[in-house]
Amino acid sequence: MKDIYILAIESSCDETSASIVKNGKEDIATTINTQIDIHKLYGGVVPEIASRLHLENITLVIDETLKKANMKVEDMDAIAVTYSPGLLGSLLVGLESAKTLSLVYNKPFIKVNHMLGHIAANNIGRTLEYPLISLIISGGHTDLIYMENEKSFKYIGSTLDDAIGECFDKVARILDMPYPGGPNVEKLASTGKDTYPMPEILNDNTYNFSFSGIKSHVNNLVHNAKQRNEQIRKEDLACSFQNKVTTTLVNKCEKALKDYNVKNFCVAGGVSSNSFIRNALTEMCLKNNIKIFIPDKKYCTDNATMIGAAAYMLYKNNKFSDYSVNASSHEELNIKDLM
Amino acid sequence: MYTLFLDTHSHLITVSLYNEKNTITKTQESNSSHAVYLVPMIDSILKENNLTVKNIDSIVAVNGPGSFTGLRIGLSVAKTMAYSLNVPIYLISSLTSYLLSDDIDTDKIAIIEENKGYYISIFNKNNESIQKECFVTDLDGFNNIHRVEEKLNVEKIIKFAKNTPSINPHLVRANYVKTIEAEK
Repeated sequence: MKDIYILAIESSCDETSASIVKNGKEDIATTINTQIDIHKLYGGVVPEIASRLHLENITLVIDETLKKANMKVEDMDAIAVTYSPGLLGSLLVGLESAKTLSLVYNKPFIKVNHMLGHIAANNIGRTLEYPLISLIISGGHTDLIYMENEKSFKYIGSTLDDAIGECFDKVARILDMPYPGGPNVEKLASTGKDTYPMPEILNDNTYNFSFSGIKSHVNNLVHNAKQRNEQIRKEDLACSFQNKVTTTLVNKCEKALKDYNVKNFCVAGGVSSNSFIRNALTEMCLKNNIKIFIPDKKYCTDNATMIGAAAYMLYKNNKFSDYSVNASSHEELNIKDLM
Repeated sequence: MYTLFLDTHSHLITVSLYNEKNTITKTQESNSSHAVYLVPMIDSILKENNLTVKNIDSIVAVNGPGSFTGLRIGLSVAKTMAYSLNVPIYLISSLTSYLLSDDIDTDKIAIIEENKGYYISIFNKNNESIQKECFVTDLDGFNNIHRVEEKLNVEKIIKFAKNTPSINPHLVRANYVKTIEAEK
């Protein structure tokens, strides 16, 4: 079979990225321009600034990717782009740039849901096996998905309030750690001990999550300590928080795997770059004789390679789009996207 | 060969193909859906005239001030097209575009209203700037100047823009005029 090359673009949040992906598996060249240092100045992503930077960087990122691969857009079989979910102004820059490349070079155009990208990151350099349960953990998502095969999936659980990444970021803020919060909480926790009691996190018969309670608990604890002029052991608090959240994640995933009698488990999304969570989930899978798929850390956070990997799944199913596609801040992964 | 003109700074999207003999224009009212219309408009204006992107040898794009999101949609398309076709791209202000499109023999002011104020620019009858474009919160002192309509004379705008230096596609940016809250 002929090799399929896809040029993919991702600009859903604060990273402008382009990638050339071969057969949905091989990362031929990837460029990621991250805006983290700029958003750090404001304590979080400022959407208007993010959009402005995407516009400044988009063609540079595409150009650098083509040069690294020593390829031309003419060599591509399709152009793919993230259209949802994400920051609207950010998404639009990548979306319109990708449409334009598709128009100029007369190449098929593929819109990709960012969440499918996170799952497909597991296809880079290896091959996902089905049926599987997928856990998506990021700044905007905490979802459990059941996939019988590459073309079918169903949401079986999600967060009822805050996403796990959001919760990490907020705890980081409470502990006066700079943006991005997640990695900083992890670093802090790694030198701490689990000494602070944490409240129970939703532990019911569903596959849903709830993190607002533990977040409020950490907030109140720090606030009260400050009022009483007591010292907080930040390392220990971060460790206690991370342990509790991870235990809940592990328990819910274990339950879903058992209930659905599935032997493959895949983890995706930015928070899956957290080593503590990676290890805990890996251990649970080992114990239950389940095959675990977790992307390399560089494919966990936002990148265009995973969008190229996802686009290949759509390419095989002839799921092409026309140029009237609009960006959406919140459109969830839909079964119609795949079939 | 044609010059492609793109204006997305307001609720009216304008796409034109221009050369010495011929100007073809498409417009579309868009309520925050510029992304739905813009590339399809370019695609169809080419197809309807039996042209392809290969018939485009330069690009003129309006880079603001105006709707931030609208501008970014237009400029993402404009810069990617200039980059991929390897053709020169020229930028022009939305206010200048309106001013150039009015031939009145006196001083004239272009005003673009925005939530919290107005973007303004003033030219004399020779199309020389006498008030650099800026953002103001009220129009006191400007009421006696002839206000130009929000109409575009594409030929005049393109001729003017192509007399300015072309810009490296990678350096195409919007002219927001206003800084944003977080930067203050």
